[in-house]
Amino acid sequence: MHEIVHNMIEVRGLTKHYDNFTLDGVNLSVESGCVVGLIGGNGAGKTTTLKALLGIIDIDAGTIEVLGHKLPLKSSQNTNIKSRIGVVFDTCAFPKEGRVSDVELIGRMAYSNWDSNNFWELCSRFQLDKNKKVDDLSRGMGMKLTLAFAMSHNPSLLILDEATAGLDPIARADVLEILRKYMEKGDKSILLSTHITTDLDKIADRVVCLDNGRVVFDVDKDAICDIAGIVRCRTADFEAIKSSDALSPDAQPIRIMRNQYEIDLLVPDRTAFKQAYPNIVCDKVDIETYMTLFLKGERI
Amino acid sequence: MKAMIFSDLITMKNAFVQTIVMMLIVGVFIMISTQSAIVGVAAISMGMSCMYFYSIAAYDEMNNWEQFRLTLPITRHQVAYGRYASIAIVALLNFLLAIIIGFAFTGVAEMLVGSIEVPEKMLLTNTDPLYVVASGGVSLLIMLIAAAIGLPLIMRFGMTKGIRIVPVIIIMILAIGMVFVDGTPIMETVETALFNTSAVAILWTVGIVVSVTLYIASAALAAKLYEGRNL
Repeated sequence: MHEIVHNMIEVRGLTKHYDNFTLDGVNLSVESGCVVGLIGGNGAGKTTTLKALLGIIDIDAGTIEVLGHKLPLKSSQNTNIKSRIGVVFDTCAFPKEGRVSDVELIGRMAYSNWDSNNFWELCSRFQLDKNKKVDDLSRGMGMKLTLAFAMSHNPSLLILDEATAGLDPIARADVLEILRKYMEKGDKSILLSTHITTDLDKIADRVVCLDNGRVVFDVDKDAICDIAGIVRCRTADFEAIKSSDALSPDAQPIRIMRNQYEIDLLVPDRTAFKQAYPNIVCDKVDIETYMTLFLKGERI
Repeated sequence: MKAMIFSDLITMKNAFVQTIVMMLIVGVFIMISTQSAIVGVAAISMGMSCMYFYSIAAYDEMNNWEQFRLTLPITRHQVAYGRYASIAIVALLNFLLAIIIGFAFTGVAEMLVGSIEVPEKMLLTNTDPLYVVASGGVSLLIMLIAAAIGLPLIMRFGMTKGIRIVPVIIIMILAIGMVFVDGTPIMETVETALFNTSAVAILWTVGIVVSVTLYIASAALAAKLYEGRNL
């Protein structure tokens, strides 16, 4: 039995310098039983963060703990810890000359807790023929193979980098269903980096957004999808809202974006806004809109 | 380390057949043109091992396989030592295969006597088995030394960058070696030993010990270098 850890991942002040990019003091935690979505634009630092978590790159400052063990892992811990993590990168990384059955063999050789039946069940579900060459798989099928590989040693933690990229909507729904079932087993966690924020709408518990190497927000998904709101108003309404004290300080709009004909306001509490301004429409906001307003909007 | 060795062998599994067929054609061509199995055996042994060496290093950089492999329960030390082990295993198998091909070639030549005109040097009865084994063996040792020089650089810088540095290092070693050997009786001693039956065994022993020691030392260095590599 493995020890129970409260935070599967605990990152404090993660800093990594490159010539033209710096990951700057990133804090991130993934609690047990939690799905955390990592979002942000291209080059925001998502993949660098994941690489640091996996010990693929050295870090310049900060601390990283994975499954209760501080990185870099000691040699004696390495096998044990890594065998409890499943990883999917944004490409199917297996040698292209190999076949699906070879991938299974690599898994069997690498993981002491490898479950061949589970792998073949997932392959069957994903319609992956065991004789098919990796090179002949489409991007989507390659991602399915990687996902089947990542899940076939019953990991405690899944780290997924664009795992659903390239999948058609039906396959994506299938993958999300598999991830949902995986989470039902208890004491499991997923860190999911993605551009497809609708996936996070469906399965995430918390959303962390990176921009230019920094965390710009780290909030519960419910705080975005259930509590926050977007107000699309005219300039006059905006001026009225701005000059009024009808809203408490913590319910004030946090970002604005000026469009040609209207102004979009991101409000942290939709209900509070509706009570203060019953005549101004305040809609629900999805993660993508929230992120766009947060990254591109002006602070008030 | 077992996982790393197997992943290397699995990676190259499908390319093995192509390599064998290619080197068989090249080897037989050399054997026919030199009218002897000896050079052909050396070429097959060396050629197949070189192809494996470069191909397996190139596969690492395809589709981020090298990065992904580090997420498996394998340490960086195991990756480095596993790579050395897989190259040594394949080089040894290639050596054995080359010898078998060499003997098969001379055997076939023997069977063809009477049907077609076959040069005498090609015949099994006129081929010294020790020479066939020795030619493959020399290739094997050269391969180990070449890998010992090249692999630490490839493990540290990757195939694309590392392979540009390897020739520079080899030329430097040769130049420094020539300066070091020049004016000393080392080359003369080696030449004498080569044609002295009683000294050949000593020469072989020294060759094997030096190559294997160098290979092991290189593996330790590569493991150290790979430890600090950012992928």
